[in-house]
Amino acid sequence: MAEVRVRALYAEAIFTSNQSVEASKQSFEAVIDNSLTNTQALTKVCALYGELVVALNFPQLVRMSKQSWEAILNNANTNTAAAVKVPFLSAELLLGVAAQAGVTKQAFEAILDNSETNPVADINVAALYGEILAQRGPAAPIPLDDPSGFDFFVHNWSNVVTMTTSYMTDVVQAQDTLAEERRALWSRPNRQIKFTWLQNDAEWMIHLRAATIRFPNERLVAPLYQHQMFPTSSSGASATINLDSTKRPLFVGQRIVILKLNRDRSRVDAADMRRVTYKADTYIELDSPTSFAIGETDTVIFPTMDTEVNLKSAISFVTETVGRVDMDLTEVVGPSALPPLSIALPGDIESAYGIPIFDFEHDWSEPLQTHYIRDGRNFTQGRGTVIDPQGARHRLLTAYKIGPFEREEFMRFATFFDYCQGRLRPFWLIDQENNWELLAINGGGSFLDFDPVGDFDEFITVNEYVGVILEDGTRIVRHADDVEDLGGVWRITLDAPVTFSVGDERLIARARTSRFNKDELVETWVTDGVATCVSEIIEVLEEKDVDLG
Amino acid sequence: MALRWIEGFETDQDVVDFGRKYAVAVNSGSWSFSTGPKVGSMMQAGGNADSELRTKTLVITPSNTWFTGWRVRCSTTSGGFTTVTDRGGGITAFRGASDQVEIRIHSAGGGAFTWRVYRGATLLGESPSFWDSDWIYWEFKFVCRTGTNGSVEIKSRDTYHGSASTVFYSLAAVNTANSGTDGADTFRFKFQFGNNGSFDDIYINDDSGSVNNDYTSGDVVIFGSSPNGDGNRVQWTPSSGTVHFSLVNDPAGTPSDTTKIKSQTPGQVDLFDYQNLALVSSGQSLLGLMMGTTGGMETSGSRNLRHIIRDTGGSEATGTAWNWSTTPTQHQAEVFEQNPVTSVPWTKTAVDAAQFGIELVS
Repeated sequence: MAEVRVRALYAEAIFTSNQSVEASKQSFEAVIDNSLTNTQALTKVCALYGELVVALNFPQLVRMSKQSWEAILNNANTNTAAAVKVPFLSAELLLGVAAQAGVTKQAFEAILDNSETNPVADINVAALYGEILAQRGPAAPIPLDDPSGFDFFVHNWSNVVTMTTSYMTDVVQAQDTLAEERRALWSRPNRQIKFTWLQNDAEWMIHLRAATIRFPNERLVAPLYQHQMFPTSSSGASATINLDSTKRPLFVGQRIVILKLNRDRSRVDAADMRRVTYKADTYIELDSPTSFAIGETDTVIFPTMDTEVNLKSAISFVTETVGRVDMDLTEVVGPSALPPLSIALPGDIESAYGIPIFDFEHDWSEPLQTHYIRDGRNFTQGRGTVIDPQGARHRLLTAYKIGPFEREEFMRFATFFDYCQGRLRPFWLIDQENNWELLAINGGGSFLDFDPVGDFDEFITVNEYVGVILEDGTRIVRHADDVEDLGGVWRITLDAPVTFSVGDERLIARARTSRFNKDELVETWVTDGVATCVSEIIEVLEEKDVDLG
Repeated sequence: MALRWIEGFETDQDVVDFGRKYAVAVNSGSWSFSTGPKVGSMMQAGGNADSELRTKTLVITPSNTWFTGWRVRCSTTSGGFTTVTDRGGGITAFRGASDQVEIRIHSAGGGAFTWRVYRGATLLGESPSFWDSDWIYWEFKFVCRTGTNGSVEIKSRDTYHGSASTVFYSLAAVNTANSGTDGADTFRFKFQFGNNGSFDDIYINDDSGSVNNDYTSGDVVIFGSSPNGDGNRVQWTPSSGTVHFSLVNDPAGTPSDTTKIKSQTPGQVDLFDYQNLALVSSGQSLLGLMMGTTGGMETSGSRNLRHIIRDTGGSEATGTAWNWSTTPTQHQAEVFEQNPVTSVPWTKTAVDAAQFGIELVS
């Protein structure tokens, strides 16, 4: 029925349009031409053509008939079998001109650099479990509102600045083997900063008192004095500041404070709080221009962190006009908290068997004390004491004094610490005992032959890995497949050959899988460019994942 | 141009959509989609079956050197590999229908994994093990060459093994062209990573052009965006009503072919506002953008179409025209590495302000 109605419409079209009549006539001539050359086939084509024309609506019929006509004539002149196809193509052309394209969906995906310099803001909290969150790394902080009218002061570097970075890690240990599984409980570390303000000017003593009184009452802002930055070029008021933004906790989204100092840099003449919207190594962009000109000599920029209400603050009056405030402030927990320095290892740290090799040296100005501790339980039975040792053997516990290092090296350590945290990730620690004398390397690099002094038995039973520190600082860890007493030498057979030569090594000793003993780092900044810390490291006997529920 | 493909599982999450977007889309392992580790969504695939996505031909002339990246989290258990220990998921470079070289995940036991490199059935090498089940952004460099001219390189980020600048594993001076001819033009991603493998943020670059012709920074994220408003011109015919954008912003995972816009008039344009890129800093540059349009001929016939982009100033630029000549619904993807209006890298600001759409050319 539908087809009948359509044909009727076609007829109406023909009678109401001169152009349609002409087109029909032209089509008819084409049919005759083609039928002379290919009767059966062209008869069908004509019928098809007719049907197709009927299927079109009226305005398109007029235009399309003319196109089909040209094609038919051309092919008829050639008088070949191709002519059969051409009318058919012509018919397709008719459809093509009238045909509709439809779009059912459109979308795009955009790809962004998520490197640590300018990470995507991280407010995706759907995956709220430790292992993922702990590795989110440089997620952009969302600072609290700016405290209005707050006076900033500069730190008095006669005292150190201390920054404590704390994580919380759940460590599950198997009693029998001491196999460990560790899970992070905090997505970002919590920081604590201690610094000193000292003022000796009557006007600024009043400001100091006003600021100090606010700490027990408000969440405020603490400049990270140890990470102060100076502009590398002067400019007028600007939303772009040229500076060295590397090797310090400076994140996109973070609030910074820009201080305009007086001529002798003892006092703050003006302060702006801004947020970092973009960060490159040599400059940062702010959410709005500074309110004052930026000078290389009189402007200083500090990253900040939001600090909790401090229930107790005090001013120590050194004299009637000289006051000192020793601040001990704790970071506000939540989205405003600064993220870890990094989710990645410093790029130049070597790895072995999938875990990095600790390559920081102990500061030998103090002894390196090494403890051998055995986990266990102590029962009192009557008058006696029963010890139930746990794990296969003892574990090594030691405390490295790191630094004093200059900023670049210290921040490398701080980055390594942040990388390891969240799960107290393990690393290789090569013992600092330098008592093995390497005599020869044989077997294509697979045999290390040592001077047979002392006692190797402990190595055979206690440790399966050997670590090498070369003179150039390269660190190598290999599994010891076998340890033999060959009479003249003691031989360690490695699982994979080494390529260095005898004499290249600075130290060969045991290598142990280890982790930081505490998920807290206390940085002591002696100046704004030099820092030190102490890092406890404990051996890990076995790593094991445990499926939950 | 060097950025050839991105897939963030943001705008397409259904095997129907993937079947249109990819040359091969197989869901054999009950894949699913959920909130991703960074932004938007991720894919999870389970079981031992080989779910896969294989791109259409990315370049007319095969390139020898390719860079791909994807964010992967291996199974949280060592299960899923028990019956196919050496036939896990991975990435395969193809030249036409012929596989050239494959980098395949391998369960080394005890929760440890390695990457194995295969040319056909020949094992070329195996990476060190990694036994973490954390998210890792892996990047792979394929040099698909015969003789000893081929190589493979693997980089990782967010692992025990170092930052993006550290090569996790490399294999040089090997034949990586199983077909016997240099070059690759297609990539297959197989998602068999144990019982609970997770995947996100795929990119594919070749080494041509002046940008995106190498590894990325070592960590990229991919956002998706769909129309959320009618733009400067809406000249196509809506399948219903008068609002156009809502007919073509099918949610990911819910393809709807009944709602559409249609046109048979050359020159007609439909432009749409798109969702802004949330979570992105305003000054941040984009590495590229890939538009996708799904549709087809309503009836028999043929049409030429192209993407059209209008910037905030009102200037417009168009993409490369393509032809649709069949009625089955199909997908047309086009990469815009830069803002075609200004010929500078996209920024969040420019993307948010721009309108994207479709033009019926002829």
